[in-house]
Amino acid sequence: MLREIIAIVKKDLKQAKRDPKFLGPSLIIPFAFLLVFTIMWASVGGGESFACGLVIEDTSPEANNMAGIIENMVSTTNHTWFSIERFDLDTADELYRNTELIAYILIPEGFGENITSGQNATVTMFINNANDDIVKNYVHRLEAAVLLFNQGAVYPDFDQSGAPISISESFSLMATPSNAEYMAAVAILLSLIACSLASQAMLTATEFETEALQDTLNSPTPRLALILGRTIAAIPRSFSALLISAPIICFSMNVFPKGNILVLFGILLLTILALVPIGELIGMKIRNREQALLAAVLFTVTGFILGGGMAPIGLSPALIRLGMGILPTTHSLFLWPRVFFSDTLLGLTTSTLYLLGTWIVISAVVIRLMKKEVERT
Amino acid sequence: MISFRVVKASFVKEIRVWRRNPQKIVLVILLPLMFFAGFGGLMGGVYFGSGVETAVVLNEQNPGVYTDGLIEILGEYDPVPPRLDPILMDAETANRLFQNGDILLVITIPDGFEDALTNNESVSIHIQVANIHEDLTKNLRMPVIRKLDIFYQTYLLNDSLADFKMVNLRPFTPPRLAYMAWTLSVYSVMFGAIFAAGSAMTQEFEQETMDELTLSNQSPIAIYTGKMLSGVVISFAAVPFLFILSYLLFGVWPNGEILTFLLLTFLLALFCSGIGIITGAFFRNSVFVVPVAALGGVFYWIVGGGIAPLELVGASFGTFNEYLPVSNVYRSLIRMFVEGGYVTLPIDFLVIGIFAAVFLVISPMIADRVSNLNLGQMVEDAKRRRGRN
Repeated sequence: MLREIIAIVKKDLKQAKRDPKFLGPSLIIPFAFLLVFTIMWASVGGGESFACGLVIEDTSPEANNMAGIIENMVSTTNHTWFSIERFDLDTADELYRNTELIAYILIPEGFGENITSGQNATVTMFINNANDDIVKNYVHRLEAAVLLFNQGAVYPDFDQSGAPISISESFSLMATPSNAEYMAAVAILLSLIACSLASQAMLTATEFETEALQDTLNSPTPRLALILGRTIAAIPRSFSALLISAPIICFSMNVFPKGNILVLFGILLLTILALVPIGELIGMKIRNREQALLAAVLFTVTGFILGGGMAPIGLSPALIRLGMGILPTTHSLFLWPRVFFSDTLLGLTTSTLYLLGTWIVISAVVIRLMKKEVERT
Repeated sequence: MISFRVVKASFVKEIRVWRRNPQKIVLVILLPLMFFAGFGGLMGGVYFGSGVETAVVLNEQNPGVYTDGLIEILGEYDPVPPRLDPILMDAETANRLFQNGDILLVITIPDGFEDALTNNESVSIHIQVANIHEDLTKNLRMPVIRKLDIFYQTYLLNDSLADFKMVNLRPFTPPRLAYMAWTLSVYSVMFGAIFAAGSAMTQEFEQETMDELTLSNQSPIAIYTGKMLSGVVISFAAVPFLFILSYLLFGVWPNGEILTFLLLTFLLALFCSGIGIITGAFFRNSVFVVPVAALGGVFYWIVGGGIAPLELVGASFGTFNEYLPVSNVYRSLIRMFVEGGYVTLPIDFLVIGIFAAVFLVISPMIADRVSNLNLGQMVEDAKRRRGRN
């Protein structure tokens, strides 16, 4: 059986060398995603992409404290979302009504007087409510500023120690990766996912089109040898895309793995094992090279988005998370950034077992389909 | 001179091919729906569902009005997302779940919390946040800060003299996910047109029927124009599904006139079909056309304001983006969807109209030229010449 497996591996690798078109989607998809989402985070939600006006009609120390918090609260919010620019009321209102300014905050006259006399003082935000996400982000920012003011945590120290209730925080990672860094890390995995799926789906569909697969299936080669040989061949073939994509992504985005390289390699290997039989299944079911590719691209893109490629799925409702958990890509995307950004082995077992299980179960399904194909022909 | 009979024949043939291959139409419909499901699933976690599962560790041995009040506020429905779904658990379980990545947020209420607040002393609650990336970190931390502010405004009135109010510009705030479905309809037209027209070209190369076409004594330009028009028709396949789905899920239709939508997207489809046949003639293989169409479409969906209405919130498209016809269509349609206004419609209509008209004329010609070039053969010839030298 070993001889047959080696022969199949050699044959598949030769075919991949002769027709390296599978590298197309493996490179186009991750780079395009990376470009698109880097632009997205930079323009619609990263750093200080939107400006917010600040109008101060009160000259009291309290009003100045509030303004200082609003303008400098980066240390508290971590992710600022918008920058603050001071305007007079007429200018801010005109810009706001012309939709040139998304929002402005008004600290009204008498703000300080109210505070010192023990009365409520209200800050008003005028907001362009183009959708509820915008409103959410601006409410959060203003609310955090108001809370800091009430806690007495003013600029520059933001010291909450004298507040009735303060918040102390700890994080799972030493440093918070930016959205673009996260995207860069998962784009490496995306390249491998696209390559594993597309190459195997195209290979199998091509063999159906040329009727080479039927000949192989009808030969005395055991089906297990066939599956194992094809899976082993898929490993270097899938890694070939990473030889190009990984260095480009790492160096251009200045993102390098912090976790154990061997563990990362293991995650990639498990991903290949889980996805190759799925690619085989796509090729066997569709039997047309073009359509098999379409299906593989569709599976890659949706598996990537649904599995948490853009943002971890932790915020999704439990039912949706459960549904997404069926996809092996979800488990790969859970494991990969975890080890990429921290040197940890915690929490890897479930997803590792799931990927191994997927490999075994889908391979068994493929063997069964091969048997049916032989019976049919 | 182009024969309209040939254009029509080519168009009818392509439509027949599409009818014979329902899987391809399914892709045109399914991909935008998948994008919607994907983005909705991810971003929806912030907007719907029971909220972010949050471990609350209660170390307070003698909970009273303040402790119970804080726990109650943490679990209360909040119109501003993300909402929290507090689950009381012991510190060890919470820590294990947090370390394993099964829970992303832990709030610990310390022992002595009640006593400190009763006696006007300071106390600190501790939060553990899975800072996987900036946006997620923001969406986990900010609700806690908001809930604490609500607690201040409810239970610590002497310490919450400052408060705030919001004044909206418009009477109606569109739900973000409905907004995304509306803008994805524009994406679906763009993707559908490039893919359908590109696929109509690549199939001729893949099935080796291109020579038959060019030797058929019919104008290739007329044939390619027919293929282009078939792309325009196919590109609208997903649009009704997206609008109906967004209505069923969020109960809102976009503002504006359907006629304006159809006019702008028809011109966009014409322009994109032109790009599609050139792309198909260049790549000659659907391996490249599918990702180019899908990801090119996503690129413009994002930079055109598909996720956030850039132009409406004062963020500039940028000089480069301002004069690209796809962005013009997004700009006018987004304004129409959200406000029901048409401020930029004349200029945007003019720009996309000019591009559509130009591409209707030049795309078949360029595709004809490109399909006559055999890049592979040229490379081979160059190699042979170098070998000879």
